[in-house]
Amino acid sequence: MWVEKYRPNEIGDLIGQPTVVSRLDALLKNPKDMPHLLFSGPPGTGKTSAALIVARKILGEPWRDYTLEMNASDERGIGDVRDKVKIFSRHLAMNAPYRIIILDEADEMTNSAQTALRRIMEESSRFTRFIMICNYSSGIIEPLQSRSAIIRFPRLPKEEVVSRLEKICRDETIQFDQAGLSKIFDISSGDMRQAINLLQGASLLGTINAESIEKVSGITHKGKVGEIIELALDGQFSKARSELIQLTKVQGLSESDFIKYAGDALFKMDDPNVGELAKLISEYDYRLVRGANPDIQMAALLAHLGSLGGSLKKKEQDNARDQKDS
Amino acid sequence: MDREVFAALMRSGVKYDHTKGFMIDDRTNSKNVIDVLGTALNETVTVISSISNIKCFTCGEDVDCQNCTYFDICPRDSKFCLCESHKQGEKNLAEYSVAFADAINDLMGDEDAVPRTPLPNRDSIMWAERYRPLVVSSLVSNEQVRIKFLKWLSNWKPGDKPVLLVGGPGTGKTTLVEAGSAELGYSMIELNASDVRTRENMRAAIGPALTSSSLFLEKRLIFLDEVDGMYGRDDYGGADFIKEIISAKSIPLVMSANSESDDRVQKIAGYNSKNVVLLRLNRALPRQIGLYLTSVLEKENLVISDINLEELIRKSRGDFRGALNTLQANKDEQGIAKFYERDSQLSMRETFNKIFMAHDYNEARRALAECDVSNVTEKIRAAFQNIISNTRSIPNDKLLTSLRALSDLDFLVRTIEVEKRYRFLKYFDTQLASLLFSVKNEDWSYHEHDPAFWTVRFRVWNDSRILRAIARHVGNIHHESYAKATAYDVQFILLAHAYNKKEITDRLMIDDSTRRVFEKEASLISDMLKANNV
Repeated sequence: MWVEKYRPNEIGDLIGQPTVVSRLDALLKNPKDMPHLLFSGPPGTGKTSAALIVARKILGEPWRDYTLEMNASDERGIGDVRDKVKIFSRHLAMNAPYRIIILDEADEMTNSAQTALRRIMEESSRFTRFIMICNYSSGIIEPLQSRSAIIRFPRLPKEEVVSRLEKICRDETIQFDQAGLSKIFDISSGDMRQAINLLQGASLLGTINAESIEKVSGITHKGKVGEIIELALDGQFSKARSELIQLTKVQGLSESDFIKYAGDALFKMDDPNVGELAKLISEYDYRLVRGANPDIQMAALLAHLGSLGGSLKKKEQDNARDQKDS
Repeated sequence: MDREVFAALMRSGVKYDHTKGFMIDDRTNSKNVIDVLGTALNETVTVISSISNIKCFTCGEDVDCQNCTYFDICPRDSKFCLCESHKQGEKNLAEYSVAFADAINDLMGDEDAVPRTPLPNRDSIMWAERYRPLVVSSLVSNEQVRIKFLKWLSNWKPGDKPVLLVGGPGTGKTTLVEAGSAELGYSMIELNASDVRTRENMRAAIGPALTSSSLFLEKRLIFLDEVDGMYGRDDYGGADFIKEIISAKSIPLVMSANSESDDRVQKIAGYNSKNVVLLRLNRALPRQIGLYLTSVLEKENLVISDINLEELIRKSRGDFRGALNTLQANKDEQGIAKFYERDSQLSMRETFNKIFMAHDYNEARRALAECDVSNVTEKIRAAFQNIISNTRSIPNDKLLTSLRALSDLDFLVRTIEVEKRYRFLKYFDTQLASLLFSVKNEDWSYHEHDPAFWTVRFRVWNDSRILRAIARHVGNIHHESYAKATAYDVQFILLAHAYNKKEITDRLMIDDSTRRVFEKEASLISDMLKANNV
């Protein structure tokens, strides 16, 4: 996959992050002084890549042996932290200044797991450095934030994304036009991972243009969610629900990811009711997080969207009639 | 349902009743039915023969499940059952016990290690006590666990892990420990939830045994019953003390609990129960309960009709003690036990069908209150499945209000559980009944499955498991979580596969069954792309 092939290998390769690059450069000059790090920023801005680069630069050749990569959203309980992190962080590394633990999506960790981490971070700081990665630093408890240097990754600017995509296109010798690349940026909203995936997907169809990008984005889960939302707004409840079940139960998209994409899709629709829609989405999101039954909640959400969609249509018709009358 | 399919089913000898649904008997041409279903569902329908897996415990013959009295209510997941000739009467329970004792003695390599005593008869008023088996061989069900337990105890040496027995109420945890320790000559020190289990109390009761056991020849065993019944403040320090005994490993220790995932149990047993030997007692099969009850009935000279016995077994849900208590409480002076006619509880199906037929709200409310499933989450799920199965007959605005109300109710129940404010559950039946009454229609009948899920169930059971494994694998390679790999990457890998970029899938190093699912999903995706073209 191109996502891995074109993952940056040097600090200088990170695009659109001049401040991050200069700070990391400074840190790498004197690895002994490096504190625990906390990378925060939107998805696809290079946080994981930066963490991997830091680990490789500091630990040298045996970096794989001395790096523990944990995905906090897969292993987020207190038991995982205690079992894995504690054992790994206790021992000194040979031929390397310390060991590095990369905690990806650390804001998904439970509060108790984060609290357990607090003590471990202090006790093990002689042998181990932590790099925590999160989308929102507010998801990390205060004590952990105060124990680490926070580096924020801003959203990538359009020119940088497009020029990187151009470079990939030239390396892979595929035809492209600017409209296609700009479309990729719009759909992926600056997320480099999604952008490269879309590019690779569209390259299979031939040239990169707005049409091929559109087509490929239809097969992504994100595109599928958009279709389901359209169906629901159109009042086709049963159809929307059976598509939803395909997506979540068979293809394994989590319900909360569904809600996230649904929100993205709805807010892009330029609907005057956007406030109401946001309220609706956030409410069901909250219910899911609190552990309500996802089947019931999702069905209710779809039915709710159906009623809103109907009223939206009616409003449009009313407006049209009013205009005619006047 | 399609009219033609229905007619074809009727021709094959399937019967239909509005309240009971479809019925099949021995005159049904099952081969025809399978054909009809296969074409109607457009899926392969196969008969999984469970007969060959199940052997009679007493004689080792294959058990004929189809003709078993308990065929309808049996989960059919045991390797051991009883054949027709061995399932009736006390004589056969004794035979069963003797066969078990022989099997165990063979395994332990010691003849007569386990006495072959049939069901005991003690003078106790409570039947549950009177018929509590005194020896391990006269317990019924959970053969493997009983063997493991006896092996553990007879081979016990200092340094061995303790045992944690996990099982639902009335599955025989306490009986197994009591009988097993008596048989192998251990004297038992028991502490259960009725004792105050603070550190001091436990030290007073157990401490002497821990230190002095080597001075006397007497073998001792500590049994901590119901460790999930330990409460934080009242039993202060108790759990820590248990952990100390566990790590000392100087005396055989047995604990029992209803579930190993309980927080308190996990605290004692460790993450993934790693500090203990976990033995899980399953609920007894209907047939085994039946065997046991029949022998008790004979001893008590009780008469019971077949239908009542079946009902008793069904209601017991594998709980021996519960079944005996119900039996004792429901016998009359003439020695006839009856439950069926008393204001009986309703199964989920009966409850919902009654609600659908209800003429006013109160009738619906009463039916819901009589439901024998008291678990509110189950009731909500059933309500949801029935509303969702009948969306066609519900007007849109009503569908919204009912789903919305159900979602509120579901969230409320969840909050009540999280905050442990269970007294608020008293509003539950009223709310659910009024909700169902407002949407229901008299020609509804109970649906056990959500149709939208049911149509894709094979893909859910087979393909989704593999897709999840792929996502996990991709996540590892791409330094990202499983959820992210699912959301971002898997579709593109499948797309690449559809366009014959096999090197990407080759890099994943997948096996054949995974590859098949892969190919199927990939072709679905290329179909989707073609559809987008039009």
